Amino acid sequence: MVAEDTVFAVLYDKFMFWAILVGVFTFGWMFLAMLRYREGVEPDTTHIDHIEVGSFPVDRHNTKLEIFFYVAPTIIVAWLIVLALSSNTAVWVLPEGEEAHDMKIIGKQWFWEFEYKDSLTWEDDPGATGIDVDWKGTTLSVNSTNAQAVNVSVTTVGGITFGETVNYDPISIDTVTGQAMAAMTFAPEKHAVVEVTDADGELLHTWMHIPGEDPNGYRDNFAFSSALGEDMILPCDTEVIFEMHSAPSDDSNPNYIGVQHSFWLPEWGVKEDLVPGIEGGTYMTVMPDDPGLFPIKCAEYCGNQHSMMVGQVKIVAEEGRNCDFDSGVKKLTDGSSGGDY
Amino acid sequence: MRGRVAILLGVLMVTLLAAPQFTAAPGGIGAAGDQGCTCHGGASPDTTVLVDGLPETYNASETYTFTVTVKNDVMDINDVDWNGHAGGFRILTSHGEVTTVDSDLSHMIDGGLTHTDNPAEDAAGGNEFRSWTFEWTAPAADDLNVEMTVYGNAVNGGNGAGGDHWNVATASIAGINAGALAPSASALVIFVTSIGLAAGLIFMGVLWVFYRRSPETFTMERFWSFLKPWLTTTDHKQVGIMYFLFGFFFFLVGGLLALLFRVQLALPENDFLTYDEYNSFFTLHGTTMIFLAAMPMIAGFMNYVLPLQIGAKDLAFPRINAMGLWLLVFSAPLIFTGVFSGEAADITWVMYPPYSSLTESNLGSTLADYGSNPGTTAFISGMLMLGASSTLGGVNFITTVFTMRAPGVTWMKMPLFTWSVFISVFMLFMSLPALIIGVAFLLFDHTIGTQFFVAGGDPLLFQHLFWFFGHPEVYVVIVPAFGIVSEVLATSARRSIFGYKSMVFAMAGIGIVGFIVWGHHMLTSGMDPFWRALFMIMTMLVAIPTGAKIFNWLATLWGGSLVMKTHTLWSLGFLVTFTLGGISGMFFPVAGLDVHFHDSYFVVAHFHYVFIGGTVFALFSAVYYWYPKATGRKLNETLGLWHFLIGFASYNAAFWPMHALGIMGMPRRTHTYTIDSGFAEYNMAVSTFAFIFGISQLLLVWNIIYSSRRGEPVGKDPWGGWSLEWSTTSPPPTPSFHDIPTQYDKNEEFGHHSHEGPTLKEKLWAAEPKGAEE
Repeated sequence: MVAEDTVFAVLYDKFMFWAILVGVFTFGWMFLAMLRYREGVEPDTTHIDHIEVGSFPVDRHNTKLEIFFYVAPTIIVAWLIVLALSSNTAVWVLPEGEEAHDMKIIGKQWFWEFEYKDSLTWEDDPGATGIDVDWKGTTLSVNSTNAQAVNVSVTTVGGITFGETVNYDPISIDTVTGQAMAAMTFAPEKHAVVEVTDADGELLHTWMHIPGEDPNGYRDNFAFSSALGEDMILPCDTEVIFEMHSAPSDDSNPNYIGVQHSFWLPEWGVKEDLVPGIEGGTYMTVMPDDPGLFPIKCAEYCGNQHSMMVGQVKIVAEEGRNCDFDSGVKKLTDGSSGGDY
Repeated sequence: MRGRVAILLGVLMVTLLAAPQFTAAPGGIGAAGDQGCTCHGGASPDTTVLVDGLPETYNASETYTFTVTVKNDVMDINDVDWNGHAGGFRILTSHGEVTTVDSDLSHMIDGGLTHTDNPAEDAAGGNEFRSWTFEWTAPAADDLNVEMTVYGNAVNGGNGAGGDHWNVATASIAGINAGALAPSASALVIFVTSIGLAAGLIFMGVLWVFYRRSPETFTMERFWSFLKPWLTTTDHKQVGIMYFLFGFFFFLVGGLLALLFRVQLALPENDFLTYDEYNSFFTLHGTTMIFLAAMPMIAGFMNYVLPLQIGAKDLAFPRINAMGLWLLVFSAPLIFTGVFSGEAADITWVMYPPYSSLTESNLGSTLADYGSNPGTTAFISGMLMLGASSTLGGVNFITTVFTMRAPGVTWMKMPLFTWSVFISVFMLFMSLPALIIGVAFLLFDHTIGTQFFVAGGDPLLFQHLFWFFGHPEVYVVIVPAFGIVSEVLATSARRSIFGYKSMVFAMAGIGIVGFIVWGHHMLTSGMDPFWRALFMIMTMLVAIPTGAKIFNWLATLWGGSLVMKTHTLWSLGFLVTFTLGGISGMFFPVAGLDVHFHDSYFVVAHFHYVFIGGTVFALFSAVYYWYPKATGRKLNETLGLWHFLIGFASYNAAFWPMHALGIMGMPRRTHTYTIDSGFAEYNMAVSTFAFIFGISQLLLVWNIIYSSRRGEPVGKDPWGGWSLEWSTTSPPPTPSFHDIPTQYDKNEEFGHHSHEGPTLKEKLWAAEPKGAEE
């Protein structure tokens, strides 16, 4: 279900108003005519227009009324065009400035890859979990007011040698002070995950750093893949610009250039096709407001397992920020969403 | 007593639970490995699984010894982290029992035999080897065909799954008394075979009816001389009836396809159909409904009614007309024949490349799963033949209307149905070349390795070509419906149509605007925002002539005395549903709405509202309206009333919820959906009412058969229409008029224009400029 305050929801309401107005007028007239001018209620009207086999009957017209029948729809259509044109800028013009969070979406048969061009550091709301993770420079520190928090596990992926996973030894949180400290050097080119768990291993708090594009181009961009069940993680209250490409699932044959997909985020009511022929990719933009998990779907038929080409997008607050600011697009209040796929 | 039983049961359960623990340590591959042992890396041709020693045929209860060897020459054994693991297996057998010779090496998981991990430090585990010896005890019956599937893993011993690969081998062992393998067929093959069977049964039915007429004099020669005139006819009436019956047959076939995938969609996470079957079903449903059902049914009425309405003896080119019919008839098997390759076309009715271009011939066998099914080639060839058939029809009708109108049938005195057909075939004739070019290029891509729409080509070019045809095409099927409804409503209201000229201009306007709106099907394809805005405005302009038409129909009803026959009811039903479909159509061209609605169920709802609620309802109306002209008997009004009531109600109940599904975010062409999505209730309702709508069509089938013998006989003009088709007998003779009739004009006698002064044009023409004398 589309969120409130999206371009879609606002326009849909406006168009629905005019649709109902036109509907009431047309159906009112229609049913009145059907009921009022029936045989039995009205006497036979054949003689009025001299209907007779083999002869064109008497013309029945009223030039002013006929012109009105063209003018009335024209006025409504002109007004609807005005309403509609106003949405073009909002949907198809990309926002200016460096503030936006750039993403690269790659559609393959039959999964999505979410490449990060800009880095993103986020953690769960410290106000809600009672835990605050801080990793800067050479020190990783955890401040906890949550009595259940016991263990801190640290994992990093990547770096210059892409794909290497390092699991560090778990750190314990001091039960008295609620603090943990470790000398660890933060490397911005690595994907780093800090997870705080309780004694049973239940996850209480996540801190994550996702590396952006390497300015020197020494390594591939970091990417999540829906084939592995990974969510796309996006910051709230920031304009997100998607650059979207269709790619083959297998590079071994140059004839295979991938197929059409369509990246659909039903929560924001936007989608755009991924076209194999367009080298520069296609673009789309959304402005997430509230945190949560929302579905991603493929809307363009792309082959056998088209219906399985689904994923999820997770909206989070960047480290040190929260999602309280009302930037426009709200999550639906009843919590319903478009589902998994 | 009861306590003792409980203790006994408890001990039994504990024993059962513990029993496997004594024979082997846990480990090995469970049912998840039935799609391949993915717990250790991916499938690879580098790994081979050899099964040695199994017989080709077996004797009952005999025990055979065989070995399984997993080979991988390129794999490095990781010496550093070597933890003793080398390989693994999972063996599934349909009959009999497989055991390892050394029972410590294997155990059963999920009905399959698999290796053990090290049961103890000093004992050997099944996963420390790459070759094992097994015993297979044959089943007691010797007339079975046994299938054995052996998965083998080659493991490099390192930590994790990196670098490990698996493969699979299968073995078939026939019992000494087993017959040949039973043939198996996919659901689609069975379905299409039953369509062929139904066609055969219809033929047998015709034969039976012919036999029953006079059993004494029946010979096959007489039956042939009865059938031959139908098969070789060039008479527009017979060709028209065959067009209609062909279209109606495929309307039922397409409906049945839809019902089958509605069963699949009725429940969340359903697996009634496989992906392949589902994709082929909706592809064939769309193509069948538009090209094999709607267009032939319309062509049927065009053929039958148009020459009668303009007072022509036949069409301009009767033989070309017959050729068009038979091209269509033989393209249907081409479209369906891919089914017998095991995998029918799965490229949707819009056939978007690169998916539809990619196939085994240009991808190679290892990547073939990423391309379209083999049946696509025959499907595309069938589309080419359909294009040829429609082009021939277009030429024929345009020529007929231009040259063969009877005296008095001037352009602005033609019945509106004739006008609508003329505009519709003109659009078809203008737009078809784009489709034919696109489809021909697609066929070249498919078969001889050109690259129009694959690597190096432009996939979007096909979309432009297709929709340059595709959008006029949807008006090609709706404009004749406008004509039918204009005829039916004016006749039933006992008045002439309100604003005849305005109606003609509206249809022509739709015809012209219809050619410059195709881009709205591609608003999300990365088009330049300027063009998107332009296509958006153009598309919204379509609402103006369409709105004018609806208002003119309402003005026609106003001041009449509406006779509520079945054909009137269907036309009034058309007004309701087509208005709803038209209003929902206004939501699409809008940028901010289309980016959500595009390819969602809202689209599905919209075009079913205009295709069924528009074209098909008008066609039903036409069946009830012109059936007396074709057969000399009326269709049964009671059956017709029930057909309308059940059909109209269930139709709306089936398709209205689809709007909500689209807004909720259900994409079209989706095989299934989760329970969490919240789509389940609406989908169940859609499926239920779709079945009722489908079954209600049987009332029409029965009515057509029943009334052809028992219907109320009628004269020349049962409904009180004015156009020339009502001036001839029912059914009309062949050729359709002995003498070319003349159409008169009541306006000359009674029209208020006849006594007026000079028209505006005459006044302007005659006026002298001031001071001209000087």
